[in-house]
Amino acid sequence: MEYLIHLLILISIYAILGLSLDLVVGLTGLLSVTQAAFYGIGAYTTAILLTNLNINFFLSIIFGMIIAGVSGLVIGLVLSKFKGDYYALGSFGFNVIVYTILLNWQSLTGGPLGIPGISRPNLFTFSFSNNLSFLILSIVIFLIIFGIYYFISKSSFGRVLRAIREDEEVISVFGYHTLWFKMSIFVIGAMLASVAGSLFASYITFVDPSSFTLTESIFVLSIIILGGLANRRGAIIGAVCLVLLPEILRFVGFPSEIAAQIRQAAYGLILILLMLYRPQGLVGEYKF
Amino acid sequence: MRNKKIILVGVLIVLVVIVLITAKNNNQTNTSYNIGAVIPLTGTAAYWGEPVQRGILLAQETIDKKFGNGTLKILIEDGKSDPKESVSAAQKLLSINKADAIYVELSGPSSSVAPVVKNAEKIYYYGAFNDKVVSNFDNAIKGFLSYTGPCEFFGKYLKSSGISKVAILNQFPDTAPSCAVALEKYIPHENILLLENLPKDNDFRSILLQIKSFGAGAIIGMTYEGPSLAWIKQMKDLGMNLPVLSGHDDALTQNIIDTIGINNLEGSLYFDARVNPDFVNFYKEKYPDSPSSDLIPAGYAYEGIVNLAEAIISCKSNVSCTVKSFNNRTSDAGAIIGAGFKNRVLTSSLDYYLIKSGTTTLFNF
Repeated sequence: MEYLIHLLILISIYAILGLSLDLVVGLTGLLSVTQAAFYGIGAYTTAILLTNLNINFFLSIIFGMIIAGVSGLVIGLVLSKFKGDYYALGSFGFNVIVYTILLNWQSLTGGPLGIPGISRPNLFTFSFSNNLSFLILSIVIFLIIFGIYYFISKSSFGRVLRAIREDEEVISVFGYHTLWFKMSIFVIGAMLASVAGSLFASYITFVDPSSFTLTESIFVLSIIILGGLANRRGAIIGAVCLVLLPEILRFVGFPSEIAAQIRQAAYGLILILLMLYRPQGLVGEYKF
Repeated sequence: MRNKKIILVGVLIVLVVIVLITAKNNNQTNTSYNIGAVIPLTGTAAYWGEPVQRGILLAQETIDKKFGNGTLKILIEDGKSDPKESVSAAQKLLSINKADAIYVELSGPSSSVAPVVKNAEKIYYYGAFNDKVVSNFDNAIKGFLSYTGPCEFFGKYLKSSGISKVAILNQFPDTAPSCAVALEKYIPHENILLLENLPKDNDFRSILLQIKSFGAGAIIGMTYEGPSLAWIKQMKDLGMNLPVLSGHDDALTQNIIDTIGINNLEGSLYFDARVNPDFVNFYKEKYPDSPSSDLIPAGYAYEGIVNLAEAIISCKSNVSCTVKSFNNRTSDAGAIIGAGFKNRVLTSSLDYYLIKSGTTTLFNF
């Protein structure tokens, strides 16, 4: 049961991350591979505030969102100079910068050793110390973010984002200041990703830079591509598949000495097959 | 399109059925006791996890021989060198396989898995450099070679050799600060240059020039073999003939000594954990192609798991009894000679070798 609850918590965290990235990639068509950086900013903000200043977890989420939002604004401005593949490369650079800071600012981040002993959230006198209560909390936060995603995608703001994705020049001709729209959604995506980071830090009770590498950004991108871009169910389906798949493979009996390596290869093979037969993702409305 | 969807769903259902059938067979353990091992078999630290896995498999053989098949099973899961993945693996081992104890390797995974095992009130055996991994956890046992002892020995050696300044080149997470503290017994704090964040491209020249301007009389190398060979070569190229102090598995491997030339390492000192010849034979018989550098990680894993298993079986998995049993445990015929548990930390006595006048001799004060 604890194992299942643990997996559900991970799914909710990755679904939040997926939704945050889908706003940028799926809805707006900006190929960003930097979500792990904002995820890391949220996680480290919570870790530092909870362990050093004993601040309430929910306050730390707000601080994380502010820091991620400001970082998103700065990097978004820089990235607005790029398009297409260059945009992806630029966002990749930001991920590397954040990772390097987390790794090397040892006095603040603990360097490669990270920060252990992060406490679980408290709300008034109630502590989310057991996994079931944490699961409920993470589902509530996920539903709030799902609501935000739904609201954005159905609003006139969301329709402009879709139009930017389809043809930015056309929408500019109609007088829309596309830079403002792209910046806004990038900052919103960054802030939502930081919420997932805060949840992650408080759940695992430990953070280190290895959790926020480019590989993690690509993993989140895989979630939304596999699930389906620009579809609110896509991020959830993608998170369920990509979190559960490697865990299911743990139960398949391979020869013990090479089991881990075979499982990794099988995982990769299944992803390739899924992309071959469903390039638009399982429920996607848009593909690159 | 509809057909494709049907095919996809069909394939997924078949996969799930296969998984469930194999899972049923694979996860049924009829043993009295289970130890779950979360080790890095893939990811950045797979180089470490593979010999550890071999040590664990040998431990299983020894346990089966001693207590009979079916008494205790060691279930290995890949932690993927990642804290979050290690938590998933530990949760699976505790919830599904009902593990009586969890064994974890590496600092990050050790930190992330500790609260999970603590909540489950099981025995926790972890291998990490970091001493701060686990706090207020009475059921935790640590098994790892610490650099604190060697650094104290190095400090004594430097003082006796009249060397007043030393630099530490560090690639191993969190070992250098504890090394510096140990050195401070013999060398003042301001005379120790601690260099972390080493370059990734193996060009150490600017760092070596920094050491030169600091006036260090020796370098303690906490670096892996490849980078070690690079910086020792570059040090020689820069005309710096400083003695190197390190481990025989770290910066002063036999390969490096042979490549650099023993005459070019005058005054250097290295430590070596003594692996029991019986274990070497046992290991080499099973894994003839594996390098000698695997013996320490394999030996430590073997040592830890065998002792853990014996304690669990003798205490019938009672947690406090098992921990107490560890405290009293010394292994006379284990994988690492002189290994034993002191305050729930597996340690071993080390041999030190001095390179002098073109030869290597056992060194002690």
